[in-house]
Amino acid sequence: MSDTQDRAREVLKSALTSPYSDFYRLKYGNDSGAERAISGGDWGAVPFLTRGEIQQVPVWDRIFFPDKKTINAIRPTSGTSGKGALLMPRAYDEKDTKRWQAWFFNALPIRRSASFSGAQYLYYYSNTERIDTLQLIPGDIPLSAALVERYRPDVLAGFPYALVALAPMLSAAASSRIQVVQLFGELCTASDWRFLKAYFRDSIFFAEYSSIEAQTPIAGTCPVAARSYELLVHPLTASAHVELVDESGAAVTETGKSGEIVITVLRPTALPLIRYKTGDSARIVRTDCPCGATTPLLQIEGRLEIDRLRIRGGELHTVEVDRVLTSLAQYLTGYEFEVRFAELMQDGLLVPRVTIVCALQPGVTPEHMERLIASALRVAPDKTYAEGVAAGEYAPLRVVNRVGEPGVQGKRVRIVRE
Amino acid sequence: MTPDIFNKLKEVYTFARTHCAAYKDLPESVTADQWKSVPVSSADTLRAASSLLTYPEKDVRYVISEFSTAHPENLFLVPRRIDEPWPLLTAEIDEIKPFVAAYLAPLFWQVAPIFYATFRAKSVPVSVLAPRNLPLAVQVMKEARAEMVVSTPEVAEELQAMLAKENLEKQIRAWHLIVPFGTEVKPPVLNGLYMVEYHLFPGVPVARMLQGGAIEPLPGIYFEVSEQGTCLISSLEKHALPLVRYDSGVRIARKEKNTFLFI
Repeated sequence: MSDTQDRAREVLKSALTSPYSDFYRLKYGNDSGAERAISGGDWGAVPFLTRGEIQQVPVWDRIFFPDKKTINAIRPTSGTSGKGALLMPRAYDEKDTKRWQAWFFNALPIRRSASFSGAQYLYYYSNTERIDTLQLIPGDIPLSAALVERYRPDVLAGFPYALVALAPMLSAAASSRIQVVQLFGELCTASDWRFLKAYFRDSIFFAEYSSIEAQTPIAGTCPVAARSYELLVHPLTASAHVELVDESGAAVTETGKSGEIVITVLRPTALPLIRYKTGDSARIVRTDCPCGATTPLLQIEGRLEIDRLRIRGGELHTVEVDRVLTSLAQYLTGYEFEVRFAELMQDGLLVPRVTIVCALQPGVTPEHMERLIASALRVAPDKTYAEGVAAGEYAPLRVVNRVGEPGVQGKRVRIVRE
Repeated sequence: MTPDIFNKLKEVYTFARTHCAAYKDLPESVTADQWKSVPVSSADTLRAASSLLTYPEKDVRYVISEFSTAHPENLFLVPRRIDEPWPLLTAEIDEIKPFVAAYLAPLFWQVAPIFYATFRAKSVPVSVLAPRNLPLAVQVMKEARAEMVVSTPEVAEELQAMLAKENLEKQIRAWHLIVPFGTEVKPPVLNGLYMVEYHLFPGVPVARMLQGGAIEPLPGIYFEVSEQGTCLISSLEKHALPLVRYDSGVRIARKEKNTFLFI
């Protein structure tokens, strides 16, 4: 990724010398790491940028464009993190952020898209390719289904949870017309994908990793991995310089290891993001992908806060639970699951206990599933949950059968503390 | 009806009969004397003919027929040219020159892209927000310095009250309120100027409210009162889906030459 790092240095230099905003000059203050990085010094010495640091500065004081007229929108994040929304300016000149997709859409006879994201039709397609887009409503799936039935789009785009709810409500005629299923906005598990693939058999599936802060796709589906329903992505070198870092801030480069995703956006944006800590986690799957991509193959593991559980001597990720449950699909009736975490007093010590709530086939007992899951669930590359129990580190895993319980509404609940 | 008005109606009539499935059964030609015998159209007429295949798709964007989500089965799509202007809103932008504008009406209406295009044409930054998250809207108004809002009267009043709690009651200088045609509106309690615009379908404006509560058809729109007292709406300009004696089902009475009252 040295090419992207060189371009990241250019972005850094441009931000530090910008006549339009003092944001980075004030942020770095007396720290000379950024200055040294511009002249070829250690890129890892450039201080990280956090969401909180952006939030502290009024939106109009962190715009690196000369004229307010070039700003076409102020996009807030959802604010559901409990830390308040972050307002991100978007410049009209950013209209080419989806250009990397253009080859893809131009290659197909696509005219209409239906999307659960307003950004799709407001800022992207409307400025670039002439694709008409109808907005679907995540909170009203029946209405969204009616819209899709009337509109008959070629592309269906949205958050996995919304598409999973929508797919069964569509007629075969509407489903079969969908040429592309585009996934974004939250972690898409392999089981989500398999579920959707059952409804959109002939569609091309296409996932991207992005965020409102980045305003540009950071990583896109690996076509080779997609053939085996593995939703793995490659960083897009045109868009961003992507790093993974551990909790100490050191680079994670080893295959099999996970780290927080840190991005430097390489496209001109109203607010350049330089070493921005996304709060998302990814694991390096391999560094030599047969698809020919020059960037590592990553598995996005979701939000650090809600998709990762640190348990003694290891970590449990939503995607790992999903992997195990997918391999045991013959024992399950549904695709939704929830991971609950508690700490129990055991022999005078507090030990973690993981509970998995899922829907079991008739005749399958929770005890049977507990054994199967615990022996397959990895909490470290070389350790299963069952091995942790045997070592006295964890309480036995528990399975709760959720048959008859209502499904999860709205954004997925993933790991919850009991 | 003046000869000039009739000529415009006739031009649209011919266009509609030729290009829109909804009107293909209309008589081939019409004279001024025959105008009142032209069959009325209705939501059912448009719904029955709303197959997308009948519309020239290029450069068309769709809005929907319903203001509420109560009956999605009734829903049909209404095509609009993507370059179709929003004249009343454009005039307000020219007058107010807002720093930033916000959209706070239901997102399923599909009006946000039209809102975006209208403000983009005037180089005004926008923020598109969901009405159900007003605390977020207040944060955006404050931080982004929004001065103009496109919304509904109910949401606008709620937002005004929340802004007042933050001592921002004078933040919004102008409100553009979208109201379903035929809905009685009490003068909203809002700081700043407000405009009530009646839409036949969300994103299809047909009239505005005047001071005193009378309604006036917008330029490009022609109102007739049917024998049953309902408002028949016709387009005076060619649209992707022109209206030809569309029976709105809304009872009106003529107040003055070109102003009406809902009854």
